[in-house]
Amino acid sequence: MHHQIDPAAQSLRLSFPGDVLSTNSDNLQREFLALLETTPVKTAGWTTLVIDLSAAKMVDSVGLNLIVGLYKEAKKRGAKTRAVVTSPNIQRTFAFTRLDTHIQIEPIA
Amino acid sequence: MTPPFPAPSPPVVLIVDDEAITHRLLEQHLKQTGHRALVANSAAAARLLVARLGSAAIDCVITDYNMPGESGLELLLWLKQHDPTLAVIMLTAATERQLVAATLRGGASDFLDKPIAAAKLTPALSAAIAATARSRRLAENERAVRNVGKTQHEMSGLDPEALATLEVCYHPCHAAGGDFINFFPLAPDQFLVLTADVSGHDLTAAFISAYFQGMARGMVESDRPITRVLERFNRFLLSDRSHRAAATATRTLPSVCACAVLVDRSLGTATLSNHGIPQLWLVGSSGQLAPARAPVESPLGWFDDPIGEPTRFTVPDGGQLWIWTDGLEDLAETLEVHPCSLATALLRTRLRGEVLAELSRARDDVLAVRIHLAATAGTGWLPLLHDTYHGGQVTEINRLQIRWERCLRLALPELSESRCYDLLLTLRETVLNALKHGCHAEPGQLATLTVTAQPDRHQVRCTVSDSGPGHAFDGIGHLEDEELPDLHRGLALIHRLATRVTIARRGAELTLDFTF
Repeated sequence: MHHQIDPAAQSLRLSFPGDVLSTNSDNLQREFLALLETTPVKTAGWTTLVIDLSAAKMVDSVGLNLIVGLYKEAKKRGAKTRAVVTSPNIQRTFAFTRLDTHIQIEPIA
Repeated sequence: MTPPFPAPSPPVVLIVDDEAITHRLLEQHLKQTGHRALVANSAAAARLLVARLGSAAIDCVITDYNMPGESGLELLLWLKQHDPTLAVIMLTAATERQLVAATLRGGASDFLDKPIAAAKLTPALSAAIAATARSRRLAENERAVRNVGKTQHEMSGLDPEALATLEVCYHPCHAAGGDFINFFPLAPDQFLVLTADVSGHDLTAAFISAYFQGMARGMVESDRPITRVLERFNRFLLSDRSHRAAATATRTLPSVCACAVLVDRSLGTATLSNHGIPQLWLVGSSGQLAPARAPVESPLGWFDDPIGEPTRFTVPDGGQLWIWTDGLEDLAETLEVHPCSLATALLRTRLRGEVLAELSRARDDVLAVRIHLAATAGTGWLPLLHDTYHGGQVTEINRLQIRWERCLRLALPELSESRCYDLLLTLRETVLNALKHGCHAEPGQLATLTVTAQPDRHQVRCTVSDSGPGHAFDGIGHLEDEELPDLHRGLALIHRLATRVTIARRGAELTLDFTF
């Protein structure tokens, strides 16, 4: 998982390398929690978490749980969450699981 | 005294050159070496001569490359189109060496430099004439094999009564093959279907296949039970006569996989005797898919064991029985799909009057048969997949999902990308639930997935069952919760993506219907 801090936008961007599934969600979650403990992320003062799923073609229920976990972690820190979703299938999943009412989906550029 | 046999006629060589001196030299050489020469002074004259005499009357053509009008290469290309078996030697000048590659690509047997050296001409001629004879023998053999295949196809053609009961997809690897299916109407409500696969897929296999079919037809029409037919043919294959024939032909002993299905619609039963044919599958009128529970005995020709009593079972209402030979199983393995989805894809393409492109990868004859067991036609469910997984395979879910996708795409190419996603995600969630919770991720616990489809009704049915006791759950209420709890999100996806979910055994068995 790649991350990027944008001081101007006060955002922390997490880019997932592909699908977010039961088979890799545990590792991704561990990576995220470790990332939160690093000094640059702790001191950046980010107010928006951007979850970049543009490389993902499938997100299963465990992957959704991870995304909900990320959202809750951001909310705990007073940050809002946005997601970049290019797959129409994942967009549908976000809609009917009501994730899109909590996480703003960024329009595809 | 007249010799007992006429002397063989000398090989005929057509010389094509615009130079009279070349004609004379070549004619003289050919006469001295026991050939008969025909002469043409241009490519156009040569074509007229070949058209008049017929190319079969000529054994070799020697043509100059550089002639006024059409070149030797143009004549070569015309000859190869007209009769690819006729060998052609191209004459080129030393300055035309770059033409050699082009003439060889065009199909020339050889090339010679001008002026022609007699020492090179004689062996080149002999080789070219021998090549023509060899090509013609091969072409004749191929014609004979095609005729055998045609005769075989015509003789094994099914009558209208059979066609109302059976659907057959047969794709032999060669012009003639060893797989066959025979239909025997025995009484108004009773018929016998005999399917067989003779080892090998050559003319010998075609011959053994014809022998078996003739014997079976004779015995069945004399009211002999099918078990006696199988016994008799097994004895024949194990007989000294068969062994001697195999030894003479330096081939392995023949063996035959055969499956006889006797259907009695008045009793609602089918009786199965299977000798080496792969697993048979039953499809019910509600889309249930299950292996036909009948023991598979050794192929005929292996052992002198008595033929066991056939297995009788009750025919499911509107049910179908699917049979295929090992060529289909091999191809399914190559394509990494379940044989059921390949059989369905074969049947669907055949019904459209097309041939499945994937058949080009088959290494053996492929025969698949669907038998309608009941008099009333079923609802047309087609089998796609029947897999059993153990709890330890929970970590292999990505690989399993790739296999499901291959099966769906092969059998249901019309399935949209988004509906295929829904199906795959739902299957992933359901199978993961079964393996994690029903089987507790233990290798000793099993879960089964079956998938069937009714393409004409745009419907797919999947059933996932596990050996666990099931559990109580509260459905999909949490989807409406504002705080996004983490539990049962998988179940919510299943309910949302499937058109209908039917829960049995407290959730240890889920039937998922999808319309598309």
